[in-house]
Amino acid sequence: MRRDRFPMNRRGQRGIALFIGLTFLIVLSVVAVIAMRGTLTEMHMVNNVAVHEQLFEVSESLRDVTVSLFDDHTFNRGWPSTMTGGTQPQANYSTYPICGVKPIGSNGVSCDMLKAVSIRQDAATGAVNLYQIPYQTGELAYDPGTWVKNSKPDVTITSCASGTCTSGGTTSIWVRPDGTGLLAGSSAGQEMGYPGLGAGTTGGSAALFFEILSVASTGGTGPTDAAATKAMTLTQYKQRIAN
Amino acid sequence: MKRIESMSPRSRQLGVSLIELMVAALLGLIIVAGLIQVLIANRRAYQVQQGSNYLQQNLRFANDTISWSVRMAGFWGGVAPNEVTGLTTSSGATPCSDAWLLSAQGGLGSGAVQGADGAAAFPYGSCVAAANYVKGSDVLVLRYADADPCAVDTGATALNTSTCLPASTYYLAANVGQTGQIFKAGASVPTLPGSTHRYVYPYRVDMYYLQPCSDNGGGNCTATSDGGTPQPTLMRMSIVNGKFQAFPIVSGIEQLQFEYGIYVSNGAQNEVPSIKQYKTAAQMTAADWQNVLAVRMTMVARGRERDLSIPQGGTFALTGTCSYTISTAGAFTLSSTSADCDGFTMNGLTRPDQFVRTVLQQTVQLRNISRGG
Repeated sequence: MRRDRFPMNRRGQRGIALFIGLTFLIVLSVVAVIAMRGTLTEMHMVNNVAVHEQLFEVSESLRDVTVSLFDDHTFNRGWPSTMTGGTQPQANYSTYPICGVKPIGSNGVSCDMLKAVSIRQDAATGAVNLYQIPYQTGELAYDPGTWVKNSKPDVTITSCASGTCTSGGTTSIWVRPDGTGLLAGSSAGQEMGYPGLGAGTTGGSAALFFEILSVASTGGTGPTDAAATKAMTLTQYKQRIAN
Repeated sequence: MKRIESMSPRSRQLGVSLIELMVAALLGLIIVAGLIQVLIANRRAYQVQQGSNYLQQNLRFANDTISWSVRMAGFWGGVAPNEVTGLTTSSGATPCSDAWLLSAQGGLGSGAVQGADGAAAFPYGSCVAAANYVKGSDVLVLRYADADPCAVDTGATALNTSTCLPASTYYLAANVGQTGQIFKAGASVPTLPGSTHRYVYPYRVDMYYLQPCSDNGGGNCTATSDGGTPQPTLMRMSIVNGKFQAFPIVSGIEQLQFEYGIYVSNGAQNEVPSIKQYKTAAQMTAADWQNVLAVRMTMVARGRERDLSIPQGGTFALTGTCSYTISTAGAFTLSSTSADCDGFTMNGLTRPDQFVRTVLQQTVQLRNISRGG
């Protein structure tokens, strides 16, 4: 009988202790969760802004690489051998120093940048010539969204997108032509109002105009992925051509 | 069996004596009191945190909105402003008139970036009623063509304004790198000489300023606006649906100051322009406005509700020539030299020291401005 009684009592007390303990635990947990909620909201907001700012900067700064590529590609009449399909010696691309095994950014922004650049390969011509990319079917000059939808990016640059880098990312770049125009020259004949290529002392120049669209993306498979976070910037680029 | 049944309940009752009950109740009370303390402290911390989140997010949003306009300022579709027919230098035009909206060629009182220091009256004439302007807060005007072009095919003359909303009064047709022309909504898209692609952009003018209340009910801000607690609000006047009108952007911005980063050319042919100094609008000369490279903005955000948990007084320095101090007793002192933020007061706000405040400063580069003319 005693054996019956005591275990019963002990069991009852244990249950109450557990119940009270659990009640306090729940109350304290609610308090802790409420305390964390504000911080979490703030963290989400800050993260949003940080990703937005980073993608914007990635989109802007890596687009600039394409502008330099334009110049070097023209000057060397081809792509460097470090690139798929390239035929020109790497040394000619002095704008882009190679710094061995050091990561991008360790010796100026452009260090090893060429390795990060990938030019679209065309079945007929190899690495595409940035000057000769036409509008594809369905692409509208005034709606860059259609370029992203209808074509693969012409240039893809991945800089510090992983590893120990705290900034950087991947950007996809589309280049589309805006046509050519003659620029006013510098000599007397040109000043009278005749724009033109000119020759000798009347040397004016012509210019090629391009639209360069840069879409930086993160957290998805690329700029066409709806799940990815993206920042899109567009610039008009003038390439001066002189005799 | 019977003994067991009768003994068991009795023994449980016997176990709770008065002393035991008192001790248990006392212990319980101590724990509950401690819990209530924790809850109250937590609630206060939560409120402070929420207030801080609110301020931070307001500042971020205000900053984002103004930055966008500043970055776009001076974009004319790849054409220098002096090559755009329809843009003028008419700096004497009546503020907010059509001629004023179009005075985007550089100069004093016109241009892609145009600003005025805060004063006792709204700096741009009667654009904004005196009651709807926070005295002493700066005003910034930005003119540009929107980055989102309208759907107009090559050679087409009809413009469907629904492809580039909000509808503007004016549109810009521009041949990249060659010429541009401003035309009115409803007119046919002009044919431009030149061989490059023609784009059509909506014409935009954004004017940022502060209003003492968030909702003025279409009239003037009064002490009873916003349910009796008027919230100073960042406003933007822009051309929407063919009319230059004001819209609230974000509330809780108490003070707003702009400075302009300018470069002074050293005459060298291959000089790379870089910012030499920052000036307030009052210090700027006509030539300076042509050389603005960046805009530095400083904002003070104020909490929506009073927060008595911690003293909130302090000094809020906006620029080198404009700052204000709120003592922990609520006294307000303004320091404004060179007419930077004259007229700024805390009138109508009792005990301004009871609100939490945050200052944000941000410099935005003008990425799209093209000079010329």
